[in-house]
Amino acid sequence: MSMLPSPSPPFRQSSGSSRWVPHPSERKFLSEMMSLLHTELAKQLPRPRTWLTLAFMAFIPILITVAFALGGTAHAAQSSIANDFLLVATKSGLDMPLASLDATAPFLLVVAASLFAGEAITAETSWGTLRSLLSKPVSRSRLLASKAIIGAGLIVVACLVVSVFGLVAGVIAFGWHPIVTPDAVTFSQGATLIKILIATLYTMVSLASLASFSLFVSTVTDSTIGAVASGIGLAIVSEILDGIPALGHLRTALPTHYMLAWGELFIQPPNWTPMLIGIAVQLPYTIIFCVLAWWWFTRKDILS
Amino acid sequence: MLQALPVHVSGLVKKFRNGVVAVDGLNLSVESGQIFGLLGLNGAGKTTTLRMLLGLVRPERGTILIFGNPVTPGAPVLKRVGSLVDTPGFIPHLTGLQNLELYWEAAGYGRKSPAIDEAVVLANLGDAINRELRGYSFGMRQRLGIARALLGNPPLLILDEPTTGLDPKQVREVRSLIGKLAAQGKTILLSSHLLNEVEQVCSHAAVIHHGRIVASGSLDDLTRQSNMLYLEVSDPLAATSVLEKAVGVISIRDEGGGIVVDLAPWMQRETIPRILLKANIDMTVMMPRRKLEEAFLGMLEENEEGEQ
Repeated sequence: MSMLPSPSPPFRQSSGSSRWVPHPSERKFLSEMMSLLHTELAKQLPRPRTWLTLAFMAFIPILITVAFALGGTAHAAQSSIANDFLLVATKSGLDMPLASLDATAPFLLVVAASLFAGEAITAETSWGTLRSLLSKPVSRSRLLASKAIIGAGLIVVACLVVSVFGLVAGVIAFGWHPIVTPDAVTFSQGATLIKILIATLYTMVSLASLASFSLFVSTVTDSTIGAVASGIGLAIVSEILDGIPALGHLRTALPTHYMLAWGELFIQPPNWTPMLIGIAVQLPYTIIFCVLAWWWFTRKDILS
Repeated sequence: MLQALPVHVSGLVKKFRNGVVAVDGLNLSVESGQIFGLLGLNGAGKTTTLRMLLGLVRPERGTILIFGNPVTPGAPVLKRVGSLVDTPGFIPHLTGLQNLELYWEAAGYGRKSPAIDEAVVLANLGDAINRELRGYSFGMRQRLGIARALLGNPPLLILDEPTTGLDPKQVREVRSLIGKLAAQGKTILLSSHLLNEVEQVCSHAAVIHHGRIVASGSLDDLTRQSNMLYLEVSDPLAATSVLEKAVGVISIRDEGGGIVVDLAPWMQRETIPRILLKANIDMTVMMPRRKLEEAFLGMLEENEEGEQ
């Protein structure tokens, strides 16, 4: 029989009840996390840059809708199934969120994601508030986690804004009709809404590697511009490399290669494989960059 | 009683990646109730030392104990320390009050507290406390920074150059506040590059140069007149030559327009003018030199020589 005391369980059952109550250490952790999340949100929400970015994300689908309403359907040859929604955008309002995602994901949403993630630490550094905060018993890991969570939340909101504003503007301009893909496959309004939701969620996931790279750089540099530009730069480099056919299958490991793979949802039957590979590609990048951010931030000297 | 000391630092070393040794084997003890001044030139290692005390910078070697507890980043004992490092930073798009509230909450104290009301009173910013930080003057920010450092009534305050950038009236207010806080029993460790500030405000001081303590003690000890004289004479070279031969003169060195003569403890100061008079050398100034001033001015001189 072991003489070692058994470790206390992280959760214990309250007496006389089937409800599980957290262990005091878990409660402390949760309480600190909630405080940090609340303060981070309270810092980020009133910032003009947050609202300007989100307003711009709302403006782009409206602009695209107006452009299509005035100019009609595009005729240029496109390079992906997702891009094909630009060809049929005026057939139904439900095409417009897809066309908006298609138009914004490769650059504007990348900029938004890099901004929200890249400013996580550098903004506090430039305000001079990081040193005062970290001179209190604040866990650097929890502080970074709270900033990453709120940054990710804002990226989610940015993607949703693109889709929702695209949907509203599209329905107003072109009506609530089933969509017909360029391959002449028809999807009902309900099925299309679900696919729009999946495409939006997938777009959020496809930005994870770029955002986590910006987060990592924000722990290394004191320059906000540098941290934000790093995510954009990574996307540009990835796009350039993706355009070199000689790289063959190596291109599939690039962080932006599968960014528009949600277009495969609109063939019959839907092809889920590119999206699943896209998620699988995002995962290691995101984990590596987040771990690097944590490793660096918990060890760095706070000098500014 | 090592455990009870608010600050105890031994063998502290910090070398940055660029090879600069900012702090080089620093030893320091601050006892309860002291107003301790860390006096040094810019770049002497004051701010780096204070940042290490707050867990912001990791030392290469050495021990830092605050109230007997080792300091690491985010150490629980930091709850007992209020600090103002460099110019106080705030979130520009929030009001002064919101800044205090968010800082208080992020530091793990909860959302609302009477401590915030006390800090608001202390900051004495009037209606400006509800205005965005963007419109604050430097003095207002500094007052708010000190108020933030005092949130939660910490028994130890670490203030890095607390009067830098303030106008004379604000300087007087801050110095008066430091005195009041010390009278309440708080221990205060402040850094400064101003000799007169340390002399006016502190009960104890240490002179830091090139990351080392070169003089330290109570202000009474440090400013007690030593047997060292500053002389201004008509012919410094001749005076040096004559005084070097005199019994009881330990050393002589040039300083600006004059010379500093270190006398043996038994040597009467009045002997010096007599020796100079005998050698037909006119003396226009003879002033006793204090230890703190000596250490600080010696360091300034060394710095100037290094720049040339």
